[in-house]
Amino acid sequence: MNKKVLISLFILLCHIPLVHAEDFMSEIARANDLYASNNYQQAAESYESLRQRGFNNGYMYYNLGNTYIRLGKTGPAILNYIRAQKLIPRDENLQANLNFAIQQTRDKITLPPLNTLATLFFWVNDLSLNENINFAFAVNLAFWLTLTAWFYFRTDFLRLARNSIFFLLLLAFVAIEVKLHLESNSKTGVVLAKTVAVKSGLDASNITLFELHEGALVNITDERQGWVEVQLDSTQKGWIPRDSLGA
Amino acid sequence: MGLSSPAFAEDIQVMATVDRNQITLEDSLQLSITIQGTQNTPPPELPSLPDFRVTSSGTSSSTQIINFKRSVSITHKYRLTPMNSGQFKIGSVRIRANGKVYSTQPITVVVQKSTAQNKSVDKSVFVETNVSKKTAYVGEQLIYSFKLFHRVEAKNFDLSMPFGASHFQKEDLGKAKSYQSVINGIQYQVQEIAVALFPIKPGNAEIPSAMLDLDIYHRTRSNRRGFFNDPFFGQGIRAEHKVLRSKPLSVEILALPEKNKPLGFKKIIGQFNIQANLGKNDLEVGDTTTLTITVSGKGNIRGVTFPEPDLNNQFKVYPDQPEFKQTVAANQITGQKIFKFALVPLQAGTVTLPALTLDYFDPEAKDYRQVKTRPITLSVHPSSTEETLNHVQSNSINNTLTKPEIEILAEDILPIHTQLNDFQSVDIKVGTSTLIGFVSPALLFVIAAFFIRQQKRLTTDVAFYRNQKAYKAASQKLENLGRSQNSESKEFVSELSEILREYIGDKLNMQGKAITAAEVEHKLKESDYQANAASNTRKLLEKCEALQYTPVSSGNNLELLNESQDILKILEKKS
Repeated sequence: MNKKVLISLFILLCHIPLVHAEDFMSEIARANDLYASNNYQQAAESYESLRQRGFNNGYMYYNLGNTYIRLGKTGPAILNYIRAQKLIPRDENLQANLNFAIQQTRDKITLPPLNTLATLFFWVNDLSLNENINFAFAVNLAFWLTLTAWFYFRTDFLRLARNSIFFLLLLAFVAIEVKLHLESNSKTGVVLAKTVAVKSGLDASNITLFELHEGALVNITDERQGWVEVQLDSTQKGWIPRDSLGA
Repeated sequence: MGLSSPAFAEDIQVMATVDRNQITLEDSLQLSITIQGTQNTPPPELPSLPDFRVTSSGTSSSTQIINFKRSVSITHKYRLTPMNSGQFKIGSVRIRANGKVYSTQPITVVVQKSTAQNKSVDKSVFVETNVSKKTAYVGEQLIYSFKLFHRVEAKNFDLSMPFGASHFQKEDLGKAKSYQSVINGIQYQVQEIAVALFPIKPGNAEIPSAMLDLDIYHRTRSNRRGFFNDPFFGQGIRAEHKVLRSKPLSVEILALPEKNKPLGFKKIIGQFNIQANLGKNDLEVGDTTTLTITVSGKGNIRGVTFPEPDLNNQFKVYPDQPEFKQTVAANQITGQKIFKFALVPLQAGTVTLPALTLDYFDPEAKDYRQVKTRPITLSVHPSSTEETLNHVQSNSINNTLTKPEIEILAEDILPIHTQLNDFQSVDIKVGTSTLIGFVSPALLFVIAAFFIRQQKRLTTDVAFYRNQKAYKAASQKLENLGRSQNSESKEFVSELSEILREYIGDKLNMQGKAITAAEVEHKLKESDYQANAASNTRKLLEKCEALQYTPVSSGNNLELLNESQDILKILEKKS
């Protein structure tokens, strides 16, 4: 394979994602225009089609949440705000709109408080998983560069810097682990049905323990046979059909 | 007690029982599902019970050993509160155990209407709701109160008190009150809770019935004296769960009359007074005085607003944020709203502040009323200092002198995000590429560390330095020698021999110039060079020595140079 072929291949490989990116951009711009011209239903369909095609972006979920608010669908709105929160956790507009949406619900259930682990690693929730990984990348690079510099110059300052950055690196790795653990274990779901009866077991004939309404935030603790176990606090938990919940 | 026949299957038995099968709407019944033979079952699957409100009362398990035979059981208890009267069937309860499904027999329950609601009948506990007026105007304050009368101990209250949110706005009037009351000569303990309701639209409004769940405790006295012959131990306490419902109430809401309605009426309803006070009536141009307008009374006083008074540009006016104080007395919301305006006179002279008016609708009088302040006269003297006042619009400096007053008119979401640059798809993958990203700086470090170490050794280890630099130096010298013009001279051969010896000296870290050809072979072999290479080196050096002492040049010195270069390459490969 000569040099020209390699260069062409490289350009092609770089070009393919760009073509997709332009597609997504034009679709985003179209959806934003539809929203601006109050065509909320079409805007929602446009954002949803992007999501189904694998486009994953916090601002897209935020805009989709806004569109559902305009359509009066509080459940899907909160669901998309929650999705956005994983990607743009520090966005103030998102927090304000999520609070607004929660206030529109009947149950007015707010996000569950941080558990001990999340409180201990308080900064983890303010960073997305990607940001946590990028931070660890940067610290990792800084550590090896400092180690190399120390290997060459061997000064006390560089030794202190090496030890400090090594500690930071360990912390960054643990933070990634904590983030992955939190995202896989504490799964938040949003009730999409207007009203859903929370049953004591995996069958509609079971006793109704309590009722939840559209937009209620719940913790998903188990999933079996088309039913999910949801929990509000240590005492209020039960089973609801999977299709009445978004996660 | 209603008892259904147990369902048998091997050693597991299930049965459903109720504590009574004839109740009133005021009572609740306890449904117990007992599973004998195992304690490891999922919760029972209850049938649909639309005529009851079902709450779980917990489970109890028991283990008994009789004649060395162990028997276990678990009982799930539910409280069923009837929502309607009539005859109802509690269908089969299904229990899954050991991969099988067991069902209990249905139970029939009769729910009768409550016993006479009339409080003249001697009852130990009853509830009552009242609304202060059966006819009210839109915006008029009504008091909706709920009272529980009991002459036995009552606990665990759970009150549901809907108020008809589509017709009224509600405002709480504080905590529940507890007092005693005598009805028909019987003394009752009364718990009362009240809320203020403000009708929001005309028409017939219904306040639904309130429902109170509670447990009451009856003291029973046995005839025989108990332990220690003390009447205290002869007493027993029987708990009873009750559900008490009030009657729904209806209120006729009237629209405000159009007759005599003042222009720009602001829907202020109630009875109000207004007062105006001035901080000081005697002041100089540029001094500040405060005009305080106090509106007090009962009704929706929170909604009273006052515009900035029009003082014909004789004063600069700085409005302050109004203060609102609400008090609840005798189940009535009364309050006071205080408006303050800082006034700075612009001209000297005697000025009269005009009377300020407030229009409101008085539901007692069923007519519109107006209250007004008295006119206030003040003397403004010329300023004793010559400072000239800067005539600016008061609104432009409001923010610096007064607290910002923000009235929330509506709430809405913040706009969508339109910066297209931020719409990059995020792929979250923790895989091989991430691992490579983390490992590659470490590999780069290993490479850098190797070179740093080499560099340091070159500066500290002379033998290493000579070894490393030997080939390059010798090659360079041979190249220079090849370019010299006197290739057929004896000096050429002498120099060639010296370069070779120096190279070997550098390689073996010894004095190269003084070494003989035989020593070279010996030392090379000692240092694990190939015997062949060592022998060839010796031969080449001997050849050079021979040529140095030959009277006539052989004419093949350049061949010797090439041979030397080949030998250097062979020796370098080994090192």
